[in-house]
Amino acid sequence: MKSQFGIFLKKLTAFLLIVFVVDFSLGKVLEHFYEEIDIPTPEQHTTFSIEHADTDIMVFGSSRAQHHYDPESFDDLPNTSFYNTGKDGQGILYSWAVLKSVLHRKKDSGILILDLNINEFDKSQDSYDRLSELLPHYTEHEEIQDIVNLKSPFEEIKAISYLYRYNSKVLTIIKDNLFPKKDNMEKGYEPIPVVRRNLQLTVFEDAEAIDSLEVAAFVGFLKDAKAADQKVYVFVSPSYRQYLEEPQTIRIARDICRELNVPFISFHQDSLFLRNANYFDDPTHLNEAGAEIYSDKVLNIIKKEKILNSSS
Amino acid sequence: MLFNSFSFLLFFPTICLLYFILPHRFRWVLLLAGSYYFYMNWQPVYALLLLGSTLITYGCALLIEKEGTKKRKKFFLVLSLLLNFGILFFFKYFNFINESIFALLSHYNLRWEVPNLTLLLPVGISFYIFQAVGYSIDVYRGNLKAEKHFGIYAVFVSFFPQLVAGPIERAKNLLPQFYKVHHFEHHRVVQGLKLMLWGYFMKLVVADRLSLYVDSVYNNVEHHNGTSMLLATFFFCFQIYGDFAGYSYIAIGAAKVMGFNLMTNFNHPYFAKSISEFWGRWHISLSTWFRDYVYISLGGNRVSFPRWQLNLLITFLISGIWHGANWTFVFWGLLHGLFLIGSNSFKRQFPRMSQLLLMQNANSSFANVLGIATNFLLVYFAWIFFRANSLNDAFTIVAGLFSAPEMPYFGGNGSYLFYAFFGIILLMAVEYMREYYPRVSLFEHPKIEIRYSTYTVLVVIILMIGVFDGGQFIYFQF
Repeated sequence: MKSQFGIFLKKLTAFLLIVFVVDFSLGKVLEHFYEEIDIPTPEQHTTFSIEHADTDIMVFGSSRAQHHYDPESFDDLPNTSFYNTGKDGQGILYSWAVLKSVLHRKKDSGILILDLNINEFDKSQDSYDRLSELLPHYTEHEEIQDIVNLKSPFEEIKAISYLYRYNSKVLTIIKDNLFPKKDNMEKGYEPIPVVRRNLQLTVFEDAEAIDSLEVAAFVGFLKDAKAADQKVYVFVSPSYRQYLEEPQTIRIARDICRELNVPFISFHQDSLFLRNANYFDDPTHLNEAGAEIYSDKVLNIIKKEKILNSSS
Repeated sequence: MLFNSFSFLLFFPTICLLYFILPHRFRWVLLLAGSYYFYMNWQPVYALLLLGSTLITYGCALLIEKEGTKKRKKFFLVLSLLLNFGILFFFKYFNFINESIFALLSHYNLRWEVPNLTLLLPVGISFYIFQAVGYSIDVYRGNLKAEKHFGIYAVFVSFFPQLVAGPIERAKNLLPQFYKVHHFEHHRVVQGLKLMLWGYFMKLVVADRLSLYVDSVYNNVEHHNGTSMLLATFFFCFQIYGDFAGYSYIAIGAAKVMGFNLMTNFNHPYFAKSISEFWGRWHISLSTWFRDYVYISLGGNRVSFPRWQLNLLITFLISGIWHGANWTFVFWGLLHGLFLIGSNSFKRQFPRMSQLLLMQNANSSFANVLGIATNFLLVYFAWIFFRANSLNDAFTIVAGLFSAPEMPYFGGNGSYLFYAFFGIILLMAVEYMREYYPRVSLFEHPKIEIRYSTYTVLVVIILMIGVFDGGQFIYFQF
């Protein structure tokens, strides 16, 4: 048996060595071409947010952040740079990871806008699974590792594999390098063209289960930002859904913001938007026209707050 | 514990190492402890059900063997069946029957106020209960001697590789293997690991990838067009195959590493040329279980023609309900039963025409392709009912299939569909080679470079496009 086991061990070691070498080499090739993507695409957007973004105003959040905060409105502020790190399909966990990487290099104080989803704290495995978006930056950015590790108990071990970090990205990497096609993105903001949709206003019920880890991530985001001397605003952007009761996420977030002295402004039941289906592409996303109006409103709030603060 | 979890990748080598280190007389203890630990990773308390079913079938089998009269033997068999199926009924079918009675009585404005149970379905309950019940029937029929060693018997019922999703083993095959001394044999271990690797490919690259699309369409039927439904059902054919056959390969491979031979559960089912052949290739351990313990008990085909067809229908209806407590599964079983009855009746009424149409005596490629395509279409159609969340959804999808073609849902960017088709094409290419050129296998190639390259490519594919955040195996719910 011992000799059989010995043969097996030798062959297994040889095989694992081959896998390791192939994984490393192929992974390095993928890494190179992933970083080479320099046109506005979702991948480049994440890379830019994690590696370079450092502006006076920064927006964080999900697709609602990405499609709702129009940089043109913020151009009204003189000598103020802007970048929207919001990302389709992501939420507070991703935002916190991006913030950590931003704060790692950001020296000056600025304005951070966190756009919170109405159901941000609802329990959903998807929020964790989608953190795979950050895996290509896992080893280079130690500051995001604790958050990405929330994906699964063994994420740290899985991420040893180079190929795992680029899982499901190979085709996109090839496509974006060989046949680059720009997304309609400006400073991270991706407008949704105005198309008439005939949306119906529906009453929406809140989910019951709250994910305490996501609540903790929200608190972590605010505390980290404040500790780095950043001015944080939490916004809940408009939606075309009616809520009979205040959603739990809003209630919890408002209490936390009050406690941490962070401005919390919710547009989720704003009558201007609830009366105007034309501002929406779907019940949770504003189109370009809606985003422009909303961004102006956000800017006005920030301006007012600035004036108040400077006069006090 | 899931086979596709990282915990299993730690658990399995540990168990194997200890298994080969321990003296033979202690190995059953390790397997028993390991199997219960494996099972208790879901809901620890449900291990009591596993233990209960083990105790009932163990005790009843001893009593069946001990009793002299047929009547007494029958009594203990019925007792074993009643208790086991009672557990199954209570945990799996109570709510379904309760809701069905409620719906029926409500239709006649009658009241029925029995509340539903709020219990989680114990993982794999249908598998281990069927395995244990099969053992009781075998002992009753005199095909097998009752097992005296409780520990060995408990390992037979709970053996972790096949505990939660089969193959549903026969005691005659598996029980004696626990008495055999298994040494570490390099060749056998490698064979087992190859099967596991292929199983992981089927699960992670094919099934879990396809499930992303299938779930988006089937869980939101009202938001999708007919073309998306058509595509989703096509994907589901390979998702369910990749999921279930993938699990079986991992199970059979894991058992083989330790020296156990489990029965083959899938044999390239989508190359079947008729429904009856399909059932000889799909979930073989379950279809032979139904054949041996239900169909033959009903009289099989040694009865009048109408009775034979009725036996077939009953067997498939029970098979349908075995798969899940929902009318969709009953309908799925009914469809397969009707397909078989239709085929048998046609052959009987028009023997010459059926020979011509089905080209039974022909061995041409055209006949093969025609048979495979026809069978695939029938199976495809039936899968709609298997996957749909309700009969209403299923009929919406059936209607959708006949609607005008539209642009299907792409599920994000186009890369998703690329990975989906890549997995299906690779899977079917390998299946094709195994079916028609079984001697040509890259896995078994005499040149070590080619073998190692094949394993490496497979690992690379899994790492690059496997879905690692995928969920449970579909068959766990059965």
